[in-house]
Amino acid sequence: MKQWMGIGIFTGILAVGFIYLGSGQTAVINPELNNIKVSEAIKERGRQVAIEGDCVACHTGPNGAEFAGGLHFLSPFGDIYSTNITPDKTHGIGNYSREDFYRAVKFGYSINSGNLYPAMPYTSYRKLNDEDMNALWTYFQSVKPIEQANKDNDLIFPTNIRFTLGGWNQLFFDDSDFKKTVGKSDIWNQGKYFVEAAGHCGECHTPRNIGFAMKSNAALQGAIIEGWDAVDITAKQLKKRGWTHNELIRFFKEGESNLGSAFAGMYTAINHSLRHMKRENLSAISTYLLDEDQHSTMTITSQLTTEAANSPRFLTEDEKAQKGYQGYVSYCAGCHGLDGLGKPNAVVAINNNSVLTADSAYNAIAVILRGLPSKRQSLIQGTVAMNGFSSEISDLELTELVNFARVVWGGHSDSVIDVDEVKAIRKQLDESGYLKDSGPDKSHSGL
Amino acid sequence: MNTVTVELILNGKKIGPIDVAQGTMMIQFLHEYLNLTGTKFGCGAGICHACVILEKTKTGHVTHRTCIKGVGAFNGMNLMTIEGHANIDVKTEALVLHPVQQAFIDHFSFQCGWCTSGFVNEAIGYYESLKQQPVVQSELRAALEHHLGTHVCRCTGYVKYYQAMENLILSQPELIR
Repeated sequence: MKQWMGIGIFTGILAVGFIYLGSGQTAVINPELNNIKVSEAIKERGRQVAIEGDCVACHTGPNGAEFAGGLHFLSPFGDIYSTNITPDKTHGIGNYSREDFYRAVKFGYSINSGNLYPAMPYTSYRKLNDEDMNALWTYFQSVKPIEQANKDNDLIFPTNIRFTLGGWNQLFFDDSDFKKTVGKSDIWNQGKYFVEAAGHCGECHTPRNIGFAMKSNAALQGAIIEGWDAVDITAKQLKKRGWTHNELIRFFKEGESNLGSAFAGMYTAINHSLRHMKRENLSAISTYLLDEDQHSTMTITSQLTTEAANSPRFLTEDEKAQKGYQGYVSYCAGCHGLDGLGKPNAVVAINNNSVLTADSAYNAIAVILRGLPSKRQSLIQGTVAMNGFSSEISDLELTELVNFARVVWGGHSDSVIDVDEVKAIRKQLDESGYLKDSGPDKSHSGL
Repeated sequence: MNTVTVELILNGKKIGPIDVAQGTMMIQFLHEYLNLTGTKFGCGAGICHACVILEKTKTGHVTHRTCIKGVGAFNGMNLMTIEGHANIDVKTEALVLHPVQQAFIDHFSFQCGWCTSGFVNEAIGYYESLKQQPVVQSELRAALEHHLGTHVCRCTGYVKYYQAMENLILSQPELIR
């Protein structure tokens, strides 16, 4: 009996030690970093890193002050609220040392609340280099402190015990520095650094394993998140859908392209982050994502696909006679036009739209069921809201419509989505609460 | 020109079969083919719900936006538009409004009237549904917001529409649980 007790206690101590060592609170930084003198140039670089990292998107509540937190996230385990990261001493990071800041951003450990949930993408920010981290720290010292209390998370047991995240880190956290790929150009590696570190693209676009960690062997291969398909953005798939270097840069800069416009999480990422970045950085991202190493920022490539998308394509009589077109006219043509040409700065064109050219039909089905809020990218660019049709369109009508559109406008030789697939997606969206009628477009997504 | 054959019941009368140009939106069909101009064209993008009409189904009522839906989508349906809700009293030959219409007038719910046809159809659909499934009184306001909340009004700010419906429903105990 005593022997078993001894083994139990020993195992318990080992487990606690294992979790403690994974908690991030033991991480140390290079002491020399504390000797860096603050300068306006470093602070400005920090502002850029904050933009690249899109900190403001998550750490700003609805109509709230920048970086004061309070944005709600629905996780599989309950409700999470982003925290105040202004230098306020009571509620924010005003009492943080430089080392505390590093531990929070790169290792997911906060002196205010203990281990951070990986909703905060420290799992990607871990790749940030010392120079950028130092700049980020300097910038956040200059942010206006906001005295706004943090909201408590509401999570199920045992995920509400923050300490256990140390164990999660031990099992799933890739605790390694950013590595350049040998044999690739500097601009390609610059793109890789952004995508893996500040840009944290994989947090949405990489599928997750059973422990909700990004699958390292399936990077950027697409994942369902918040009821949308964060599509596969590997080079092969991007090229297959017709993306080119210049088209991607335009998409990042304007949220618009000849292959469709950004929506949902990607619109947020572009609105707060990508469109504020320098063109040469966007060029680096595009070079890396398309795995094309011969671009300079000024290169104009031949763009057969986008040229084709630029010229209006009218449907033939044969296409209009196909099953599914009547459904298109019934539900879609009122806005998108009888030939899917859309209306400039109001309704997106459907021909060659990435939602239809993608291998997965998830977004095509989801967008018809859910609709989208209106967007405004600038004074002269935007799109009107699209209302969802979940209460009006039947599974069979939707199936025929999506199959028709994927063949006619998505470039697929055939599309054989079946009714059961549509049913399953509808059920999943409904159970997740994404099919509630949102009413008039009161949630205007302004600048 | 591609056409679609349409046959439906509208305000109790059989319409068609009639061949209509394939790209005709339902609101155009109401205005141009049937001369029923009470249904108003608002945003043209399915957002404001001014153009909503009512479908009677076996299980109850469903509303449809007519500005963004082609006439073919309505084939075979039994529909009501704003022109179909009032009745003529056989004794006095006077026009008798539907209780929902009367309530909106009594409460001065609308001013310019552009959104009214949509509100009337949506509200009647909800009102009629209460005869089968009465609403819990404490949940009435939330239910009204849920059912009428998609409709945009730019004159009276919704308040009087909601008040009219609330008072109408509360005045009829059979609609309340």
